[in-house]
Amino acid sequence: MRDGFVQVMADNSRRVVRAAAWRASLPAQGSARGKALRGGLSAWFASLLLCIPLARAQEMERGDVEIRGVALAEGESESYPGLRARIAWELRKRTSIAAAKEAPRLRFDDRRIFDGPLLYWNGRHAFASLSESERRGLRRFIALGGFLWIDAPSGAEGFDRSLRRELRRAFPSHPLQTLDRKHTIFHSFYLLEHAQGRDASPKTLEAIQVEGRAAIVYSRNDVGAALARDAAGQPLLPMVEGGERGRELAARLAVNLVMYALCLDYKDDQVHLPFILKRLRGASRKYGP
Amino acid sequence: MNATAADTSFDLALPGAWLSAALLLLLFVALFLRELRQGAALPPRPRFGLILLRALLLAMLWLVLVQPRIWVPELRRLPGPLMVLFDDSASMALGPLYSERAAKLKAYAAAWQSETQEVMPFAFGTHLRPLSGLEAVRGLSFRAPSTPLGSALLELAQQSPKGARILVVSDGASADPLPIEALRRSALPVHAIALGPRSTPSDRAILEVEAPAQLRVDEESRLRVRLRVRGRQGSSVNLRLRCQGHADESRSLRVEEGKERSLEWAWTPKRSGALPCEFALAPSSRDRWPQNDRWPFVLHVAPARLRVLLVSGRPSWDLRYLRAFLKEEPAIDLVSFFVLRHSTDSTGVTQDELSLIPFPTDELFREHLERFDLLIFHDFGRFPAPFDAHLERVRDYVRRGGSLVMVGGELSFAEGGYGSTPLAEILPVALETRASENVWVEDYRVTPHAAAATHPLVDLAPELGDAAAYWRGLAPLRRLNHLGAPKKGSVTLLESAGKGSSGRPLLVIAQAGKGRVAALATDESWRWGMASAAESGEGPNFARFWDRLLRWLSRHPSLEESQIEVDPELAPPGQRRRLRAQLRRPLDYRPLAAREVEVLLQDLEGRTLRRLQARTDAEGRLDLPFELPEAVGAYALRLRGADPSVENSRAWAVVRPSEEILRLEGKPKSLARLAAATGGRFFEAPSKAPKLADFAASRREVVRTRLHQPLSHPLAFLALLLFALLEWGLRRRFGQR
Repeated sequence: MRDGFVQVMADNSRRVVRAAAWRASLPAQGSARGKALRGGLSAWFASLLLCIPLARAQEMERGDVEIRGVALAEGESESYPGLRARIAWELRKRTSIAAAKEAPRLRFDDRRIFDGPLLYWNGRHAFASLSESERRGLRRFIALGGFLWIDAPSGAEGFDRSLRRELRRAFPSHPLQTLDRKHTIFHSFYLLEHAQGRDASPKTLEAIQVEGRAAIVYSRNDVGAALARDAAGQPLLPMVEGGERGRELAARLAVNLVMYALCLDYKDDQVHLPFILKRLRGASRKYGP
Repeated sequence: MNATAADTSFDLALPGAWLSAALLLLLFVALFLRELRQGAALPPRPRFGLILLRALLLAMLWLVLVQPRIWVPELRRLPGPLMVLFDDSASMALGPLYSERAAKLKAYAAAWQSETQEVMPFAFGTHLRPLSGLEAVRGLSFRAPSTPLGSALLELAQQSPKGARILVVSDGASADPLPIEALRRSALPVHAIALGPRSTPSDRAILEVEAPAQLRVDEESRLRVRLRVRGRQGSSVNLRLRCQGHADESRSLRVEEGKERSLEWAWTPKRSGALPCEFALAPSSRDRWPQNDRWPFVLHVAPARLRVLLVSGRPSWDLRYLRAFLKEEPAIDLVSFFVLRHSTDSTGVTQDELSLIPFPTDELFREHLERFDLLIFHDFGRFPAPFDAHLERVRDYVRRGGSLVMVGGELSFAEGGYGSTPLAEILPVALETRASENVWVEDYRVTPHAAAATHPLVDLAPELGDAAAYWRGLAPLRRLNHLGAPKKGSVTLLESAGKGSSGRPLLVIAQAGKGRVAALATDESWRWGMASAAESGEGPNFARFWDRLLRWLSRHPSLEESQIEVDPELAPPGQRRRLRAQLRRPLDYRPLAAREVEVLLQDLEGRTLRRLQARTDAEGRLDLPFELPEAVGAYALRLRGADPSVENSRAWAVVRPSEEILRLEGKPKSLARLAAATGGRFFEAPSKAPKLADFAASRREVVRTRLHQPLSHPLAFLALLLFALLEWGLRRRFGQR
């Protein structure tokens, strides 16, 4: 937690200062005892510094914002294990959101989907029709305020066809529509010009709007894959377009999407608008052609 | 007296009467047809003669067998009752101009006493009532607020004896439609004598005022007024609106003579509560009847839109649902600021690439704090911004009358660093100096505190009748701030109920100076929305909870501890009223049971007109019937004595003008139509009416009934026998059998 982190820092700082003062009072160099003491103190000093990231790591274990995944079949494996944890890590690092490291994967007809309003669906391949209970679960999830982020590569035509088929069936009177660049998602935290993942195109997002909010957002830029890491913490997949700058923009888009899920149109509140407009004008000059 | 053909009746003596006669006729017709075949060999003339004789014989035989009977009543005429209906309504005596109606009615009733015709007198005003005799007409007061002539006639018709007649003596200004068709079907003639002039004097009147059921402070509303001008008054009238606590407003209007005019009056209230108001026409020397120039009423004004400041130390699902709820409420103006990033968070960009703005701590808590009615600190700790300097200010704001709710989370209460701060002085629970961390309790449920089951913040679904069951049925929560002990004077409403943490306070409220505070030890109430609705399929539990909490924090009238009303609030003179109240203690809402209460009936100037005594029941309820003065105006009912918290609580009751003084004119034409339709007679003035005896009814009575059975005489049988012999003889003569 924020307060705990500050407190840990304060406590450790005091310990470090005391340790340094004691170290300064130790016998002069040369004696074995002095060397041992200095070595021990240095190790201790280093460990104190480690407390800081450790404390922070402990914080990351807990959190009420879970990036829960979507599974279409029991026991189905995830395309990129650890991807959602990585998204949570990015949220923790960059924002005040208390995102949980671990979160389950659920089917749409699992009652546990109502334990939290956010679901992340990373899709790559065509899939069979959803059952009626899954469709019902999805509709109910959305009706009760849920937010579904669907993420796929631009080339995943099979997944795209299956997805559009199922969304039409589940929400026949709410079609997928392209989101305007001025939509809150593009300025819910970072100021973004367009969507970006491993793929830089399409530059837009599509969404199903329910009662004035984007309840289902479909990104076809493979955003999550841009963030996926291997065991060594290195990017798992190369960027198709945009390079490392593109990877950074993908992380920003992920943050914006979750921030939007949590804050909806908070950023559009009138009182904020003048500040944001001023910044957007400045941003355009910086990144313009 | 002689009976007419209509009085005579006819039947048959044969057992089975007409059915038997028909069967017998069929038999004789069959015999006759057989006869026709048998006479074929005879010449035509004798054959025709025999056929005719046989037909006559069969007819005579049939008549003798069926034995027709003729019943002839002997009648006599008797006198019938005359029911006289006297109009006792206020329109009969509306002041010097109209009092002649009442005087004439009494004069004629007195004159009729000398007649011998027996009458059954009745009077009608608010209801029909029999009079002891014509002399009782002297005692009529002519004060009934309306003239329900139609219902009085129907009631009279139902109880009228056979042969009765009705005589109505009235100005005809009936408040309800005349049941002409029903009276015509009952064959009950109604005579009528009209009283009073047909024309109405010069008069200006306010006929009706309509107001919205609820107004809101600082929001314009429309009041509708209907006016009428009669006689030579000129076309310009001056109308004034007065409301307690507001400046008077006047308008000059044009109203065509003889016409009604409706207008809308836009008005913006500046105070909340029940406001007695009045529309009044400026006096005019040509207005012969000023009693209908005023129309008092009560406006119920809700407080202005609630201005809420919602601040949060981090986005969360609870915050998201709470903000959405607040934004959807039309009665709430919401300003919200969230800390989306802490100074130690690494965004990887410059400020120019972020949509974030600095948290406006000084602006919110120094410049604008007083503009808000309610502060919500949602998982908002001391540390994200230099907030310490403002804690005293927030404390004093609440003590001066503002409201505050602190919602749990890892940045709230002791975890948020509020222990030993000015804010801790007003929170309803003690804060530990430093808590190490919140306790995560898996799946704990919420239960009402023992004494709080009927509290309005707890009993969210009274139709269930079991608040504990309601809360048990909501989705479990997973996070709970461990609060210190509730302070003296605070009220614990909800507690945790679970394996790891049971009986810990979850919702605690208190009064802090003039303000109200609440501590909600969880930031998971959103689960009562999504998860509960998914489980049970029911209800906006989250919205219901927060709506109640906000109403209590903002002192909304619907959640005031004591509720008082008058039923009906607005009525014409003479209508009985009831004062209904529920009196409860502040904060914990326990009923003020078995309390003696004095009720003062006061006029608009605060003068006490009457004192009433009452006692609350076990639920703190009061139900007191009472009557108001007849004068048009607004009256206050003020409570005294039950408890300091309800001292001088009041409700308003209004006496509006009655229909009698609004319409004034009589309607003799309706009386004429009634008489014509029912076979009665109409007289446009008592001077033109005949004596009572001429209205008198009469009825015929059957003295006895004579039976004539002509074919039962022995001569009839003899004649039949002789005819049969003749016929037989002629047949033998012509060789027939």
